[in-house]
Amino acid sequence: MATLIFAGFILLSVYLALRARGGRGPQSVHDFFVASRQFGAWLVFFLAAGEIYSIGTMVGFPGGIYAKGPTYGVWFLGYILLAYPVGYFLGPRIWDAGKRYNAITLPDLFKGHFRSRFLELVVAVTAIVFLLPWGQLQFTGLVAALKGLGWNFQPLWLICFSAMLAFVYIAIAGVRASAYIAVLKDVLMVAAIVVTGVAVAWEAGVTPVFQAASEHVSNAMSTQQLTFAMTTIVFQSLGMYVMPFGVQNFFTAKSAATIRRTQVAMPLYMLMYPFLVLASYYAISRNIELASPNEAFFAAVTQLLPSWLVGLVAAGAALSGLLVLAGICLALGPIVTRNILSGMPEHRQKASSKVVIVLYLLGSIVLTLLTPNLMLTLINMAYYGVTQFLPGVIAVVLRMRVRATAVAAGVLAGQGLALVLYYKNPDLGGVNLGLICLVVNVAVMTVLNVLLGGRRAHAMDPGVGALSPYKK
Amino acid sequence: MFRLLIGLGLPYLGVVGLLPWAASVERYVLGVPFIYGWIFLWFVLTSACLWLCWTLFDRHIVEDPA
Repeated sequence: MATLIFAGFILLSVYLALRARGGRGPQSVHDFFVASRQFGAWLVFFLAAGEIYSIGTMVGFPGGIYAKGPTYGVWFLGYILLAYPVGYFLGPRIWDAGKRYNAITLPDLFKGHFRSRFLELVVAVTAIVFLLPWGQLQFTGLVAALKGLGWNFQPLWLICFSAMLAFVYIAIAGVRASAYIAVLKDVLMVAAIVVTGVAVAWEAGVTPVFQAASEHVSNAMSTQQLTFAMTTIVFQSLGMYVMPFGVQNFFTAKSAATIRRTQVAMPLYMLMYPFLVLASYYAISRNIELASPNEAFFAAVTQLLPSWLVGLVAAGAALSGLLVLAGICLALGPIVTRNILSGMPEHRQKASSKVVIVLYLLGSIVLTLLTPNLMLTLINMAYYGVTQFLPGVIAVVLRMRVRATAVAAGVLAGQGLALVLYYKNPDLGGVNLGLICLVVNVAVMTVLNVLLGGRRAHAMDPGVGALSPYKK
Repeated sequence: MFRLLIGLGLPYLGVVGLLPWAASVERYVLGVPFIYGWIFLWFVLTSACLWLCWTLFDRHIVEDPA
């Protein structure tokens, strides 16, 4: 029964993808990747929510609480929440810059502002490297979700099945398919989470669950844990909207005001989390034996809900993973065809991107099979690298005259140090290592810029800037 | 400036700045440990801060027609 319901929703999603394409002629590159900048507030909202609340929400977040207690819960909620104010102020400016340079990808922004092939390549290549863990994260979650359905296939088959679906969505209608499916996914995901939370409250009661759980995990945080939570919240909230797919989402918006309005509503969307926290603590309070912490949420689901509802929950979880995969692919495809292989004509970019997408999916599959990890560790990994683009992005949107070489050196220094610290694992007293790297990044950029004479990146057009509505 | 203070300053102060305090409170609110209740509260408050920014400052910005 669960499988039947699940299959029904997946079929519905494919139908929506086909509908998204409906009645249009051949799609241009811009339409395929950023919907020709036509989306209004609702679609931008769902598209953004679709990619932010990835399968990390339903699988990784409960798993983190289950494995590490409230520290993980607090930083996860805190960083997503604080990313919205950042997006409110940064998003419209990114959108503005995107329009100025007719950008599709994040590296396009750097290319347009700094006019440096080297910097463009640095951003493009490292963006791809640090997005591999993000793909791996989705696959790990998808396996947990599909197992929750009681499917006992080899993970390899489950992963390949998921990859195939993600590819189908993109191949049908690009970002338009993603936006339409995002609506279905969000409805299902919120329904699934609320239903499970209510079921827990009904069966066990809120207070008893937390009190029983407090015998297994402490609600108090040590100084070290507190430092970790605070620095990670700051670091990752700064990084969320420089994720290559996040930047691309802004580009789909019709106007800067569209972006502001979506950001105002975003925090309210998080009101689903209390239900999810409750479900996670249920797994702890009942001392359910799990093969992996990633199964915490589904353990609560299968214990409490009837079979058909399990199907609905699994469909919501699977779609959230698939949608994010599709989003990453839509970001990476054009990064390779536009920014790495230069000089490819626009009409060939779409088809070539699809090849790149298949390769990326295969790469993530291999990583998933070789290195299984706690999902929240994977989130950290991606942020260490991606957030290092922030100083450069700020230079672009504020039209600062910084040398391209200085920006590139800063990015490479930050990312290189992040990798070293990640593998050496020294005691930093709980401070998020990415934050340290970001400080180093800015320092390198500033010093080098001064040493090189601090000349401008390139001659700028003062006329457009004077007209900008953001000049205050 | 005031705009940044409301939209960015207040949420960061509440969620990050006051986290040590929120984590030290050992009460339950509505059956939920205080630290979670505190963050949940800021879901609504952050939205309110941004809404204020929108209504007070940004609603009237005329979009660049170019």
